[in-house]
Amino acid sequence: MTYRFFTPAMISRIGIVVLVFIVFGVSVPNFATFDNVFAIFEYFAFYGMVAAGIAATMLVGELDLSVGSVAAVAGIIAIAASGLGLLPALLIATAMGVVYGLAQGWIIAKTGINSLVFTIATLIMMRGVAFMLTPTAQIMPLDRIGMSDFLKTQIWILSPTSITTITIMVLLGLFLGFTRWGREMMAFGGARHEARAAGVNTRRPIIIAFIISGALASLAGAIASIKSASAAPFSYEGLLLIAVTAALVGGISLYGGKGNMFGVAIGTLTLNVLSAGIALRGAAIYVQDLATGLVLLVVLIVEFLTESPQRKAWSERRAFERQLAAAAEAKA
Amino acid sequence: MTLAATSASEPRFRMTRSRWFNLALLGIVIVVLIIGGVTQPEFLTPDNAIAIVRAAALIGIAAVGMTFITLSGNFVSLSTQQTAVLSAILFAMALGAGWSLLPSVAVVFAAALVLGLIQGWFVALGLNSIVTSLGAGAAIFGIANVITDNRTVQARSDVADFLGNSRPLGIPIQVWIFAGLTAITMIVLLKTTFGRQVKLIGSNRDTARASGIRVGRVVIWSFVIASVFASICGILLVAQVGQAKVLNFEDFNISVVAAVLVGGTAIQGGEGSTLRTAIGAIVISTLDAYMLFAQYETGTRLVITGVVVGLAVISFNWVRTRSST
Repeated sequence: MTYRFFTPAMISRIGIVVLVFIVFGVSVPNFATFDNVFAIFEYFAFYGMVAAGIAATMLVGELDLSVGSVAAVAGIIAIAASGLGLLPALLIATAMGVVYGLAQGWIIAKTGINSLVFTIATLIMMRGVAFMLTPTAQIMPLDRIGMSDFLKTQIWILSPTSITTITIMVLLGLFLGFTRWGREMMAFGGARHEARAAGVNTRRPIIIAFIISGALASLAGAIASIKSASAAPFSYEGLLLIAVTAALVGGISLYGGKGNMFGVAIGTLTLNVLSAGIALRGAAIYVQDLATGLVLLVVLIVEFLTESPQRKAWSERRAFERQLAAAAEAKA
Repeated sequence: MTLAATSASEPRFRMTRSRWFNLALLGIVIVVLIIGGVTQPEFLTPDNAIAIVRAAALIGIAAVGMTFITLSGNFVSLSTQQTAVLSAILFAMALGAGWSLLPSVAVVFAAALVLGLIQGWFVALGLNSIVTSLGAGAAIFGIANVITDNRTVQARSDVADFLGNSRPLGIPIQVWIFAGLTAITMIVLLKTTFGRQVKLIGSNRDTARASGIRVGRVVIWSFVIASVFASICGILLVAQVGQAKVLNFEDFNISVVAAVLVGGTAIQGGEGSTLRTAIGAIVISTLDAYMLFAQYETGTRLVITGVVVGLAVISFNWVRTRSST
């Protein structure tokens, strides 16, 4: 298998993000500025990390709906552990995500329960855990003032956060493309029955995918909370929508087995450029939600028209019906 | 002899697995009520009981509608809350503009019908129902925000007052509507062609298609039913409180999905009933009411709800996979 990045579909995705950027750059004042590009990359760092994790679950044909709640829990843990220093706080929060993902993935793999339904239960539960961890159910401030400074360092248009996200995406891409376990995940997601028949372990891909999504959602939540110097149990409720949309825009298929991390990066960037443009026009936050929702629906249709097995079955059936009709006509 | 014996005993009442489930669920309600009554003496007062059933009724109505989606093999919808919010706002605006009750209800139903049609059509094409309704929910909520511009919409509540606050035979009208809709949907599921088609496409889509059922059409109608039932909740809320805002129906999606799942309708479709969902809604609301009454923290309540839903899903799945193999 050759590993091709620049497929025609990927080039058109890159084209779209460039186009959206140019349109806003021309029509919105202060859009094509250095500071705004930096801000876009900061959003990219946060959403991209979560989207990469969700993409891992989508690649094996599952979907983790609980990322928002997990990110909230991780943010609170990171703030609570901030006395130990930046790195330990982030590591502890991420370790929570790994353990959580392992447990969740194991239950889903073992029972065969559809993850779309099971993760709704864990989504509720983890939101509850987030509230339980904050004694007053209010915003937890970060006491150590200087701690977030490092994360806010600006390196050209990047920051430690966005560099972390890009590194993670590269590593994850390499893992999925070139290691045995990663390729197992892709094979498993693309054709579950065939993969099983070929002797692929049927539990490991699912468990690994959920560990990745739990860990990345946690790391993202932890970094974001320390950077903003506060954590609240009710935060990140809209995270799922944006992360799923970003992964889908980037060409990760909901039907499993298709897509790569480079696409996730492009998809996230597209959404961030879009919402930054809308925000700079002075529109209310809910307009961004509306836009994200509409983008998601449009992408779903496009994906359906190009990728879905149902669509193929549907067009085959149509062709067959047409043949039958033609045969009947010929008889008559 | 055995043949005669079995055929003779066939029409008699048997404790099937689903009847055991219903009994177990009702058992949970009774246990919670007893614990509540013992530990919190005021829990079982008539006023509190009416508050519980009123809350259960709204969740139950939406959950009964959503059961059609679940039965048809399309999991759940995550846009119920947003549909209810938008419906409440539209209803309040119509009443506030001086419209009478029937045209206002008709407009809300029409809007819900369109929302259900669009989502159902997407899903009928073969798109993922959860992701579709997630996107639709965000869009619907955005529309609700744009319409109201974050303001509370006042309705002239006297027009619809009887829909919100009347109590025929001492029982709140919402409960009558909930019970009525549950009964009607049970009849639809058990006795009509449409109801059987919903269950068949949920349990075996290929068979359904091969036997000439228009699968897409049935899926679309299940989404329309869910959407219209959610809009009924919006109407009832406005009738009760006389106003609507985008922050109404907080966590409604979670409660409604929880009710369907705890009721034990199979998540892979085909098996279940609106009666079970109705019981599930009562279980969830009673549990929630007790935890609120006993002043549990938000976190504890959410964790317990999440664990109950998770355990319900796991155990129903366990029983089913064991019995099928």
